[in-house]
This record gives sequence, structure tokens and C-alpha cells, in this order.
Amino acid sequence: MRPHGAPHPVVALERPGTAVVALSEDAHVTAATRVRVLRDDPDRYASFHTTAARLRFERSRAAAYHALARAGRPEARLAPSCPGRPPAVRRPAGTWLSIAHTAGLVVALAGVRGPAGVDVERRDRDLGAHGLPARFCSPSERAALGRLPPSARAACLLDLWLAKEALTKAAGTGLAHGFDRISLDVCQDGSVRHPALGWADVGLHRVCATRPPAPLP
Amino acid sequence: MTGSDPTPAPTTQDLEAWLTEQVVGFGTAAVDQVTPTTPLAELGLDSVYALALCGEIEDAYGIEVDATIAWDHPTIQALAVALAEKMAE
Repeated sequence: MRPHGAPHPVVALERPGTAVVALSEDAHVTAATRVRVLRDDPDRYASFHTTAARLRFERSRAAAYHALARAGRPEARLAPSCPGRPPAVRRPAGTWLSIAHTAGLVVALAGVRGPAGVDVERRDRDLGAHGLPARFCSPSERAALGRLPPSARAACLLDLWLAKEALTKAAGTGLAHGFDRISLDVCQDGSVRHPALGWADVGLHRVCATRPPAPLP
Repeated sequence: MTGSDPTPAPTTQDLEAWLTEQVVGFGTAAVDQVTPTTPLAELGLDSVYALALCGEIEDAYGIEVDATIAWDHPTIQALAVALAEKMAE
């Protein structure tokens, strides 16, 4: 049985050369992980104002190191990071990393086949508030959402958001690439289709990851 | 001429107060944790809320802002200064 809070692979999203690892928000961080974090990113580690933020950062790095090990890069070193910027692997070359977190869970994707992106949200997250659909959905996606039964819209919105986050992380742009400029196919049942994307449910959360290559649609 | 004075641009202090209201309204941090210098990411502002905040700014002040503005100016204080400068352009 897996220890409480231990990192666990999201096997449904893994491919040869790509590992995806999830870690719960209450997971214990080992001293060995803390040593690696302090070695690779000491300035960022010292920059946090709150203990909660520092712990969250440690857990995201713990997930990252586990994913890198599963992808065959157990000795990988991370480059110093900046808030709001994607994490990078300092060495070995040819190794890519993406990290996502939301309330309750952090997910890391590591790969050796090219840039990739991952995102996670709680399945009950409301993406219909704050006028968000108009800001991150394309006109054709909004039309497709309007044709769905109301009961299917929230799940579709969630998958569209996750997909765009994962794709723009793989592209290295994040939010800087207007999400409403990306248009994805929404099927009649509300599912979102794209050949470079996979989805998986992890408890209360939903995860989306890209498979390289994942050019922006 | 209409004879009426134009609405004065909000000050940095006005913007800090307004931004604080928005962040508190997201419900991701306790009210006493929300200070002008605490990094927004530490207040629970993720990409969903960052995009939502852009929309609130555009709706409230009638200016267009980059979706990454909360990452580029990562505290309420820095964001208020950036917005004040943008409105003064």
C-alpha cells in the first residue's frame, strides 16, 4: 500500500519517455528533497513570505524530481525559477519539465521527447464565473458550448481550460498566448478532442497533459 | 465642451484598495493575509484568477491589459503602479 501522501504516477497520461506524477497537498517532503531544492533554487526558496507557500513549492519540486526519475533522469538538476515562468531543467540537456498545481494536488510531467505541458484543476472548479468563458474560449467553442445541455457545460469548460493551459505550457507561452485564439474541437457529447492531448481523473481532480509534438492549434 | 470635469484617474492608492477588494473576493486568502507587498501567487492567485482579474480590470477601468499582467507585476502594489502608469498614457 502506498504511504499517505506519497507521489504516485498518473499512468494513463504516461508514454515512453514521458512521466507524470501527482502529489497531494498534504504530502510529507523528505529531507533529501529539501536538500535538492536548496541546491538547485536557493534564492527562490528563500523568497517566500509564508511557510505555506514554501511548503507548496517544496511539494511541487518533490513531484518534479519524482517525475524526472521516472522519465530516466534521476540526477537531473533544475534551473533557478521565477514566479509565473515555466520551470526548466538545467541538465541533462534534452529534458523537459512542466508543473501544475491547484488546491489539493500538484502534478509534474517530465519528458525526454520534446517540450510538453500539464495542467490540473479540481473537477468542481467553476470556470463559468468572472466572465471567463468569453476570455478563454474561441467563438466556435462558445457556440459549441451553447449547443450542449447545461449539465455538460461545466465539464467541457474545464477540459477546454486544461487543454489550453497544457498546450501553451508546452509552447512556452502560457497565458501570453491569448487562450481565445486557440480553437479546439468540441464533440457533441462535450468532450474535447486533440491528438496531442490526454486527460485523466485523479480523485477530485482532472489532469490534462500533452504528448510531443504539441503545436498550438 | 460639456462644462463638466473629466473623471479623475484613480490614484495608486485607489487602485491598491480596489485590487485588494478583488483578491479578497476570490476567497483564496484570509483578509489579513492580503497586503500590498505579498506576492499574488502566495495569495492563491493562479492562472484562472489571473485571467479573471484581467477581465475585472478591463471592465472597471476600460483599459486593455495583457493576460500576464499579474505575473509581470506580481504584487498588489506593483500591479497598482503599472495600472496607474497605463492609465496615465
